[in-house]
Amino acid sequence: MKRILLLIALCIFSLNNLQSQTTITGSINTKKGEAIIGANVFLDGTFDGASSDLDGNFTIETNKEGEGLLKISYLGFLPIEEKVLLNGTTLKLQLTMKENISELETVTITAGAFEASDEKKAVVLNSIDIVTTAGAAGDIYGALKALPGTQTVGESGQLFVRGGDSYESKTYIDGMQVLKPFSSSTQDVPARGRFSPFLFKGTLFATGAYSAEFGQGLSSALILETQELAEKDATGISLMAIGAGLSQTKRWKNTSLSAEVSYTNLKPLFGLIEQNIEWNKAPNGIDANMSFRQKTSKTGMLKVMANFSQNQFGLNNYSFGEKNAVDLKNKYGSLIASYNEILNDQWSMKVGYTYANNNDEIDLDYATVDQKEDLNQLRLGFSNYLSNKVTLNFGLESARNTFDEIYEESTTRFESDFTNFTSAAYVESDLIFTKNIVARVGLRAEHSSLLNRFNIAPRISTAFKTGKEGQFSLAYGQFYQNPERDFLKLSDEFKFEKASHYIANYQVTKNRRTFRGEVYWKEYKGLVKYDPANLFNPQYYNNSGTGYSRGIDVFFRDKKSIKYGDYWISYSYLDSKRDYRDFPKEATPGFAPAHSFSFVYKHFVPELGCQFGATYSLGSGRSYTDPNTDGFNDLKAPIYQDLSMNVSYLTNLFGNFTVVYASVGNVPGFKNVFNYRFDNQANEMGIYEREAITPTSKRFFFVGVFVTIGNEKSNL
Amino acid sequence: MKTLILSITILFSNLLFSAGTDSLYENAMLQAMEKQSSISSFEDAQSNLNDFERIMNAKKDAWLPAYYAAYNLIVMSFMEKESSSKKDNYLDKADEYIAAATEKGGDESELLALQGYSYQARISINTMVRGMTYGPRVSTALNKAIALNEANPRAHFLLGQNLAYTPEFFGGGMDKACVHFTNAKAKYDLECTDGSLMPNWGKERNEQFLGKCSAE
Repeated sequence: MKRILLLIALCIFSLNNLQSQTTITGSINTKKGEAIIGANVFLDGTFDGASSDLDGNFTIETNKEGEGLLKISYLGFLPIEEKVLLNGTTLKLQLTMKENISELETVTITAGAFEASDEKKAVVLNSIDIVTTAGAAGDIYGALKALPGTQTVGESGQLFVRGGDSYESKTYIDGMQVLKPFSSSTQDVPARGRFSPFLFKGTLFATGAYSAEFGQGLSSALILETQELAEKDATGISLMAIGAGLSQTKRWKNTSLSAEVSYTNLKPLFGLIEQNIEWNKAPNGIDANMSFRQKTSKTGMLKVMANFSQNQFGLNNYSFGEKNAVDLKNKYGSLIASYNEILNDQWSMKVGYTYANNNDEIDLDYATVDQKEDLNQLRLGFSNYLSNKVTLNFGLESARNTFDEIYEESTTRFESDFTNFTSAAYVESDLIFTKNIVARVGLRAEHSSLLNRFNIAPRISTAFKTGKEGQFSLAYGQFYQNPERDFLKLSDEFKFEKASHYIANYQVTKNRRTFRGEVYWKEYKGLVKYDPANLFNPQYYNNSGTGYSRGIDVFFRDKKSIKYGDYWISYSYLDSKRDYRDFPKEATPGFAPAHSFSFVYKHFVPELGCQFGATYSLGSGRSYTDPNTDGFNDLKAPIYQDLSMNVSYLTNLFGNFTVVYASVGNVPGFKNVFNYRFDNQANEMGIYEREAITPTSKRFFFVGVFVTIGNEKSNL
Repeated sequence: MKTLILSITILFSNLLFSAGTDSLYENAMLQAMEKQSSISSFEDAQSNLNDFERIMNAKKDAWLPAYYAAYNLIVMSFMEKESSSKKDNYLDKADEYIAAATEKGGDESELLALQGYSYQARISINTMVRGMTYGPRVSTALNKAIALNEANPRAHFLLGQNLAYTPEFFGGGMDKACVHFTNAKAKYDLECTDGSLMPNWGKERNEQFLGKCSAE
């Protein structure tokens, strides 16, 4: 009996405690046979496991018997599972892990795109760079002029990209098209960007071949993404040499609301700086901005931004001895709303709506012009993550654009107007072949009700890594745009204007130094042409204009060599000719200088809490026509040079975070001539007189104090 | 009869032993925590992260393994020297684990303090750009951690560390930081560490900072 009991006890004992121990050993490698170090190998449901060593080897001992599931995981790789039979015999395993492409640094497409972002990895710029570039004077477009691919046209202030006219560049905020992103201006008064750079967290500046999601820009797209939820409650006060502003931000758990009002008046500043222009009314205006953010779920975000501004100025234009008074009043209002949500593992969606209204009232000595334009746009887009290698984006958009202009002279009155509905659809797929080779293939279709025409534009771009640090990127795309409003108001017998882009890019980033080189070729077709002798007859307008741009853009940025210092160099070579508008033959347009160069330097001095910045820019002479000779756009204006400097001082004013900012434009006082203009009538000597187009003042000064009153300080 | 009793005793002790996943859990945790206190290389941190991830997997209802795994990921982010996107990837994972631990009903004060630490790591990746966004997040998280549990020494220590690394013109500086290090020391001294699975890290680094305070 005793023996039996003992036996039973021993049986149970052995069942429980004298289980056979199983040893699992093995090695983990990548597909290429490289050892994976530090992978986690363990038996599911037990505490038994190990990390793979420097050779990718591991050993696990376990008391578990029967069937087991061996799990292997490592950040950046797809986890694997292996069924094992645990019966006391030693198991030897050879395991291979595949990279999880979505988690790894896949190569990004860089052809034609300059991206500034705070969150995204591997970008050349961040949003602070836009604000701190000397010479930009707090204007987004001013900062873009320090990047390759842009040409400085000082008297315009607008964006000119790779030999393209200013109307060929479009701005988008949260995916929505922006109506008139620049302030209104008249001849020789440069325009500025309407929106403060502080509103945005991400900037993608496409100098060509951009995504099929966007259209109606022949040359370039500036894609801006607004800030997320405000971080905290805060009050901001700004005092500037040109005005003052007040802002208030309130943050709730999932909601934030900011409102900002500012008033600017350049009169006091103009009292200090000698002006080349006789101002009757210095530029002044009021600008109000409201931003609302609502986190609607864990992944959903609703953003609404409303903006209203009213600005005016008046001046006397002296052209060839004749005095003309010009008075301009601009009213602008816009609403941009967007909603993003991830629906499930596979699907995400975005909806956007914008309404914008612009009104310019121009008073001339002899006439008045009243222009009204508005834009309504609705967008709906979906993304489908078919796999971790294929993403499909598609969407629809619909826009209504109306324009109405009344021109009145003493006895005559012309009214011209148009309404255009644009409908568009796009499909685009992001393909990841390996983490070193990616491609984006897209198609965009648009229909314009006014032209009663339809276009299909293919876009394709690809990138491949050539080594640890270098990568190549190629892009091709077709781009269509409606003719400018000045033509559409005359006639609807137009076709789309068209541009084709071919871009090759090489970028290498090593040790906080980035080099980029890009060559491109852009071909224009269907540009509007007209007969200058029959300006008011729509029959003399057609789409027979052509042109091309080709060139090289080079960019080098170094954040490494100088402690607390950071500089970049950009250079563009541009060869562009076109035969459009009233050109008698193919020629280089006046906004396409052959060489553009910028050097941007920033230096932070921690002891002083100061950042100093300097930007030197140089542009070769722009072409012009001298009517006293036979040529057309065959002469070159003098070179343009500028050296701007700025300093930001970060300090505490009564316990509130404060930035004192000062900048000077054209420090050495270069006598710049942007270009020349000739009288359209010959004088008594039979000579067409020449006039230089110059900056509104030789130098420019700006001083401002920005105080942020947050409720965080008491905690520090 | 004696044999019978012996057998039964053996039987029960066996049953007890094999049923004791709790004690297995405790053992595994204590071992892993012991390893954590002596991490000196990236590989150590990675291997220790694996230990905690294994425990997470075996004991799904416990929040502490996720807490320590997140801590290791933050340490790895600081140790990673080459790639700032890898640093971000580690912190993404750390934030995921902190959220998971919070959902499992973990100690909110400790988890908020750790969250504050993770935000500090984000700032260190690019101070100029991220300071504005993550600075307020750090102080909000840490102050909330203190509000929930005044005795949490890690929240005080991290507040001090935050100020020590914030330039004076941004409202930081060593003088202000030292107040918090002194506070933290008092809380650390009251903390009972032996045999407990609860977080107890940071004391040594706090002492190092305090050394700088008295030196100045």
